[in-house]
Amino acid sequence: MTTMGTEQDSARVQLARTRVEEATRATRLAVIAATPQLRARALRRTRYLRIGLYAVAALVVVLLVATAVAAWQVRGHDREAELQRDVLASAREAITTMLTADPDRAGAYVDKVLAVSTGPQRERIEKARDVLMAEVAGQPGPSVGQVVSAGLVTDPESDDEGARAGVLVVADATNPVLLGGRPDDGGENPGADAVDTTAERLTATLTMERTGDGWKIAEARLS
Amino acid sequence: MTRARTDAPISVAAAAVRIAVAIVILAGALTAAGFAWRADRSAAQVEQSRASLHDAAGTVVAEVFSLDAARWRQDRARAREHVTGEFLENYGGQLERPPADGAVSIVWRPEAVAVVDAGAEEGQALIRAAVTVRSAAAAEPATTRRSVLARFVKVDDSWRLAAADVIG
Repeated sequence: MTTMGTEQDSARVQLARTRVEEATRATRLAVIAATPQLRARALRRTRYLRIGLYAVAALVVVLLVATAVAAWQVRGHDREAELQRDVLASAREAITTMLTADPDRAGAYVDKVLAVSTGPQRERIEKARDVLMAEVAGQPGPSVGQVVSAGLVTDPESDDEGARAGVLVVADATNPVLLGGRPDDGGENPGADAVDTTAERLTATLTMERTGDGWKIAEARLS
Repeated sequence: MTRARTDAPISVAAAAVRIAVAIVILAGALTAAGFAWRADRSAAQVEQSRASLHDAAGTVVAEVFSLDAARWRQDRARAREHVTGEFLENYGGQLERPPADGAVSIVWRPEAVAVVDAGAEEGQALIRAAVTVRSAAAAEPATTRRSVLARFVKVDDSWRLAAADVIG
């Protein structure tokens, strides 16, 4: 009885082993059969990922180029604004220089005025040097000038030497003759009027010109 | 050898790392591009505003201050269209009156317009104008020149006078 039971158990175990082996074989065969499809799917997904990454890389390149172009344009705008400020600052400084004179230092005054002038304005000052020195020396005291407001009539087209810009300036001056004439004589007779020590408001139109040494007055007209 | 590596499928972890890196780089590039685009647009707007202020300032001042006694109410109404509420608060009374001192007409003719400062929505201009006044008492009109420092504000894409000081 015991021997019979043992033989039956052994047969069941043997059958189970056989079934396991068959199942294992079947699984292996199935895996082997499916491997090309699984590999193909993995390759397909990898390919899609790679295409996506290439697309992102291309988009990043486009965005970087767009950023660079925009930054370059912003820099251009900033340069223009800086140029405009530079012209206005030079005009303010030049007008203040032209309207500020110490009678004890007439020669130094003319030199300073020449230093902020160029072109026709410089030629005019050089020709009128003696008249201007006499005008300053004849002042009862130092004259002063102060810019009230200044703006650009025409913007500077570039920062290259020879570039020009138009400036409208309103200033207070104790001796407006120094700017080339009294407001009511049109600037035709520099130094022809008597010194007026009362502060006077004057409006002038300037043509500023870029030289190797910064922006200088090329023309100044009282208006 | 290289071909085999290129053709090899990558693991899920490696793919996740690549996707995360790509997202970070793309987000950075988008942010940088956004900032640069906004800065460029803002600078371009300022430049356009500056040009439009230069073109409009003289005309606006002339429209506001020119006046004919025969049709002063219409002229004042036209002037009010070119000024801001701030201007009306400060100088509104002057835009309700006929020309003073027996003037028959006052004509402002801008001769030079200079931009002092300009932003996208606000700006300041210096205007040199010839002001011709015809009066009943004088046979000939009298012309003087005035420098006006004027502040403008952009309203509905057009410049309006917010303040004006005759400074010369």
